[in-house]
Amino acid sequence: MKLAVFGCSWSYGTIQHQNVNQSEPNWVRSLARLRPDISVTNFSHSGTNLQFSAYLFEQFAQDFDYTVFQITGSSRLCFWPDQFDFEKHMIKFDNNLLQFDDLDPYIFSTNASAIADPEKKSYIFKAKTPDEIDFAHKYFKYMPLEILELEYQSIISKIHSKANLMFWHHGLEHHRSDILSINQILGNEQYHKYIKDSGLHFGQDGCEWQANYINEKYLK
Amino acid sequence: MASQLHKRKVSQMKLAVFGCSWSYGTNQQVDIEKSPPNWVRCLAKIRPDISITNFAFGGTSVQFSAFLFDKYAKEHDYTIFQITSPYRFTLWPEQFDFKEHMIKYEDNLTQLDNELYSDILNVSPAQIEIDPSWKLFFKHSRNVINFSKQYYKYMDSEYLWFEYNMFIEHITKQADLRFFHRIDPKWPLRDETYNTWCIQKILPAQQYQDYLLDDGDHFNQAGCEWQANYINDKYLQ
Repeated sequence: MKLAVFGCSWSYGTIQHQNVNQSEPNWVRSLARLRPDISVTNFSHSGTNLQFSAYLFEQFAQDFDYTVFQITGSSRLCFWPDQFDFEKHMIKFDNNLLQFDDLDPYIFSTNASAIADPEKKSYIFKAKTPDEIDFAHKYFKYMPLEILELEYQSIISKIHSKANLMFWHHGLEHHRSDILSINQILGNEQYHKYIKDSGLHFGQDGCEWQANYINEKYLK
Repeated sequence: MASQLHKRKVSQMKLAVFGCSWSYGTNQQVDIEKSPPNWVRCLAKIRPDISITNFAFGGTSVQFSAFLFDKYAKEHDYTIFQITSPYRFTLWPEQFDFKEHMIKYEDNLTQLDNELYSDILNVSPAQIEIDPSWKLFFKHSRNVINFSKQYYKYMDSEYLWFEYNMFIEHITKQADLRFFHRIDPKWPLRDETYNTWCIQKILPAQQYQDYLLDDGDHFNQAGCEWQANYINDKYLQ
């Protein structure tokens, strides 16, 4: 069985190394450990937006037997070079797990709050050109929020009809209450116990719980 | 009694059109003699019993039409979505009140004011290549114009194609009637995939050519009248 996951850092972790001890926790990696009989490809990457995941889903989902789509937050911007060969940047992290290498040198990812926060900017925009940074500023200034929201909701509808499993990581999502929410399943108290940072990323125990939950409920 | 009820229903019918200049014309004036042809205006003339709101506007993107459709379609009994070309970029001010810019062109026809050109920015890759001086956009700030250039520079063209198809698939499918105006050799026609039809495919090649007014494939008065009659006879009886 070939399984693909699409999402952001909630499925990739903030940093990944082939040496799992140097990596931030990641539920997909926990799933790969739990299910050595499944070949897992993780198309998630930290900081990316819903458009990035949807675009990769459109390109690659048909190559897999089972697809999992983790919905990221709105108000994000991500762009990548024309004709970028994403497959070239997939590397083997475990025997049955392919994930992206660090894509940050090639793609530009940011969000509305990072743009507004001068302290975050220096970290997020390192190695980016002034013109790219200027574009990101103007994107959040000039793009009508209403169209970004409509695009966000349209992508969710489109992928929902195609992915085998779709879920929210965070929140009691008001857009589509019919979609699985990790936060809702766990309840606020347990959800917050699993969180290890201000980006709502799960620690190792949370990632293991999530891998087990998805495995038991959807992959048996 | 049944016929009276039918008449009442028909007289109250509210129809909305969404699209670009292929449904608006290149510009519009309240004085019809000064306006380039527009099939929606022709439809309003042949169907005075229908109240028509035309949300189409020249040069706009499929996102623009999709946004207006999402916002206003529910207020109408029948909706027509004319799908424009891909790779267009339209910007409008946040919280812009489009309804404030609708004016009465005929007794039964409301359309967007021609003056909207100074509030919204429409760009296509062809315009960027053709008009490096950007004199077409003199009313917009240099920053906004530069942003639209950056948009085409940084957004992956394959993603823009994906996004265009997504809007067609997920927004226009809610319309009662949707169609393309022309077959463009640069991209495959999506009618088979998305159950739409195309004016250029319906008309014999010579007749389509005879109806063209300019190199933007806008129809002349005869073409607009044919189109209004075709839609009226086939879908609005």
